[in-house]
Amino acid sequence: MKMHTKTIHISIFAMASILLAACSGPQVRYGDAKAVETVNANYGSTDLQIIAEAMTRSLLQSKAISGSKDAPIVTLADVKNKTSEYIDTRVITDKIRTQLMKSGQVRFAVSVTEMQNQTDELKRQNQSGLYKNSTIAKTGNMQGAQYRIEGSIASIVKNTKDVKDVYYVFNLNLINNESGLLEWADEKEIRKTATR
Amino acid sequence: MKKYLLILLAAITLVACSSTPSMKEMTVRMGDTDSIQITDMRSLTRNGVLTAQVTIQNDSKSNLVAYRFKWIGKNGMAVTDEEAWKPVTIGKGQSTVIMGIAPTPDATDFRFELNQYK
Repeated sequence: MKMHTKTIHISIFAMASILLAACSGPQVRYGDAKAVETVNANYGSTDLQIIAEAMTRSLLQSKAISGSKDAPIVTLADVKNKTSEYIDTRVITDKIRTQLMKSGQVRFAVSVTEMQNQTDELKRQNQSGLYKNSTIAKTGNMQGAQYRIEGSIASIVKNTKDVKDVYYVFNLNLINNESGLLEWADEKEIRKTATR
Repeated sequence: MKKYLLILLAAITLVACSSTPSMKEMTVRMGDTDSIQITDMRSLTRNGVLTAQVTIQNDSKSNLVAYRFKWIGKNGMAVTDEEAWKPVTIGKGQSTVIMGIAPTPDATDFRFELNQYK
């Protein structure tokens, strides 16, 4: 009888331990955001960082930017996603813009996607009648961009039973808005292979 | 007198030369990267931006190596945040040239960082 009670106690203890372990949830830890990410062959954070960095550095060294007396005004246009994957190309261009801004060599005018907020704010200040005249941001003073940045990302994907090979090519162009001339262009290639 | 002046000049020149760090001193290694040899390292300012060129060679079969540059400005301060690690694929016995361009014209020096990734 005594033995039986002991077995029941041990069983309850074991069950409680299992339940506690199950309820404790996943272990969370912070990682290095700049580390090489190789979870799978799909487009990932390392690709985004490599592309943005390569394009920014190349653009900074271009004559259009480095040869300019004042920091030229640039705007962001579309980067087309020609791959079969979902890639938020806006994140790539935003990253490029942030890095270029940090360099102090380029100024950015609001892009097409940010234009609505800009006009809304100007309307609010000028048409609501709520603001002191001397502090109102006047209409008709926005600066046009000298250049625009646009490009594309394309991929070639090949699959076998055991291998997946992905090749990305990212193209970026700097176009003179007035003349329509391409002032700078560069590309970044990335190849990734996943094997079972 | 002339002799002493010459000796002094030579000494100053030697001190000036010794302050230039060697390739080994300019390389920071993390993890197991012993199989990667740095065979050449040079830099120049192109269009106002510091550009570095590093040649690396792989002596082993394993090649899971990533690199990044650390750009340094006045007083040894880093000019921007750390760069992302960039994986580089080089076969056994193969050598490759890595180019790095500084993120701002403020960079006057650089360090080359090598790391192993999984």
